Amino acid sequence: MAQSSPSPEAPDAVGAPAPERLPIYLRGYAHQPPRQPERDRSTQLPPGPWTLIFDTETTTDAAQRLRIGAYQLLKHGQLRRAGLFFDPDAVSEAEVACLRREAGHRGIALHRLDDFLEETLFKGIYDSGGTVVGFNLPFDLSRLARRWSSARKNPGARTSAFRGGFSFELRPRRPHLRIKHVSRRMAFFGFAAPSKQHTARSGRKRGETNPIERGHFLDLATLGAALTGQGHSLDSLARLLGTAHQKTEGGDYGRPLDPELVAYALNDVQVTRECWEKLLERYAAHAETGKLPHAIYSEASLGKAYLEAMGIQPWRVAQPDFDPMLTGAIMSSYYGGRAEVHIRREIVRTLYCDFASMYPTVCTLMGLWRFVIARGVSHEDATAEVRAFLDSADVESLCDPTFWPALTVLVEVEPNADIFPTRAKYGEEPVATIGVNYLSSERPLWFTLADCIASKLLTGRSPRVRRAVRLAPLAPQDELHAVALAGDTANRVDPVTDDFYRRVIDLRRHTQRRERAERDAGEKRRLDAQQLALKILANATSYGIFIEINVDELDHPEMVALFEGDRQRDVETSALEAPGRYFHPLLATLITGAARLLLAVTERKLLDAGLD
Amino acid sequence: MDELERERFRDGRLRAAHRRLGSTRPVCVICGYDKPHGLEREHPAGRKHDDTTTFMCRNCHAERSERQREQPRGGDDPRNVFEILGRWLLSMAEYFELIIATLRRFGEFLIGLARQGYGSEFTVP
Repeated sequence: MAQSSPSPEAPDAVGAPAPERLPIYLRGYAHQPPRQPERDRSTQLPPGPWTLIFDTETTTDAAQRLRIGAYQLLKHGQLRRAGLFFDPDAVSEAEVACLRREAGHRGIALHRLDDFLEETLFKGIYDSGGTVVGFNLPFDLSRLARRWSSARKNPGARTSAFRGGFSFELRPRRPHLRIKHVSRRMAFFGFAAPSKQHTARSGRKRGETNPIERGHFLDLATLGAALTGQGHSLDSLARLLGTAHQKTEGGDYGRPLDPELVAYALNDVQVTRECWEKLLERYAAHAETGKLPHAIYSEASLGKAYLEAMGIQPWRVAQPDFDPMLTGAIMSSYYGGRAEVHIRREIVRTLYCDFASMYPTVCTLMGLWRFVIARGVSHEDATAEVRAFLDSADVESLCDPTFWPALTVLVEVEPNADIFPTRAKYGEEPVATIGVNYLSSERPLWFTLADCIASKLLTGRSPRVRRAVRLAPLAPQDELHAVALAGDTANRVDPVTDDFYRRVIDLRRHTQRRERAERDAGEKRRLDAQQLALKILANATSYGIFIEINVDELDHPEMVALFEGDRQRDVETSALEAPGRYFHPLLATLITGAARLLLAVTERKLLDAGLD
Repeated sequence: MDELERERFRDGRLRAAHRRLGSTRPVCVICGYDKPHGLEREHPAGRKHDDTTTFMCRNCHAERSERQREQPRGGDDPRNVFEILGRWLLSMAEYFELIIATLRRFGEFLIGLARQGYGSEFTVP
């Protein structure tokens, strides 16, 4: 956190509102020395041939206790058994009789919950390394539990992905199931280590340990959101995918079980299965990434999978010795996307204005793909050059694409009634948010050159530059290879010779044109899915993955070196920020800075046209 | 046990074997045997000297272990780089000895088939 202090008597603060003193917050960079990765005892085997698709129906009170469930058991995608299961403690004798009648009538299996868990979930799926599929799996899986507790990390481990999650006991003498709900669209699943000895005596004598089966789980709410770019209910997903069966209305779900409610439960499973098949068809377009659909948690997972498929080494791996002080400066210049409302509670005429593929566009304009594939980043002083550049920059110069590659610069400025992104607790807000507003500060602050130009466009004055650092990509990495995007060999991208972002945007436009001209409904659907996949891919690789930070909760606080601006101090923390695999904060700050510049250009043009 | 249960039980046992071996497609490097229940992990340079493993069927593993007895006794430092490289070279020699025996057996088997009239329907590519 840094203190900002407006300069009330600033002679050049013409037009700035009356200053208000407010603490501001800067992003820092917690540098951790490289560690040996902890030994992963999980099996790395691919999923086995069996798949269990299931859904549960619960009581409608707050407890939402399991009443019945319906399932389909498949091998290599072929149905081998369908059935129902029930919790004997939650359904009446009459309801069990109804279930028996329905199961007999339909020729499907009926089990008590314990039998279903042992025979189908554990013997059928867990033992054979199969996959559990459902829609909103954390809810349905947790309904099957006998008991629950807080998930623990593995003995001796420093952190765990399941910390803060749940550990469910499904059956005695069977491994617990751990679930960590990460967001509305995403959760982690995995079986804990079995309590019984799972390595044969002969193996143990030789000091061997068999790997642990963690299970494979595919939540269609997660995969559906990643592949369609939006969150869904089972109903909306089925409609979007055009499945043969659609979700039906079950009426009052809390009523005693009747044939209609049983039919509803069985239909839900059928709809889930068809959604699964359709999503796998869509995912086949990304088969070249070699990533299993279980490992796709979001659009970003897909983006990372493509970068891996092209053989691109993450920046932190390619250049581990990059100066952490400069990374601190980069991080302090980073501000997320801009979202503001200028006029509230007033009816005004509006004009809708949208930027097509804004982040991929600024990536292309600045040539940021060269940074993604580079062996690292070099830096040099550019203070004098940037002062002159800033003085000459205006709206017209920004309309020239050759202007933008020069924006890969960080600038340390002495803010004095300039307009900059600022992170602060505005008004009565308990958390810091980002606003783009007038800023003065006694302490120099780092911003991107794009933010400096945006300030100049809006205030009419160049910010006072203390120093500037130009960043440039080193030579491309070795062993990069071409991939076909979205399952079409015509969409081949060579990471060395192509600008990936430009190519993806061009391919999407081309696919959209083909889709519009296509008469055949099937081909039209395929092309539509392909253009959507390209859109998701462009967005997934053009921002979020570069600023991915995961917080690891530790049992005991540790000392870390915190770099903030160009200062360093040691801090003790039990919440470590672990950078994601493709963490590259320079790209994140350049992208968001350039996007704000596009908005500033728009704002300037609107103001000049008297449209404010 | 009905048909479905038997199938799932067998798949469970197969998975356990794959898990033990760490692969779903293990093959004996000497003779090509590929049923996972009869396969084991084998340390080419010896467990003391290097952690690298390959797959070997029990018969070939036993044969290979017999040849391994002919190697010099271990020194004071099993992780000495020259010791490790030396063990690898000796092991490769033993592997080739066994593979040569397999190749002879395969060759003689094919010629035996030819003598019985098999193979005339194929052409040499």
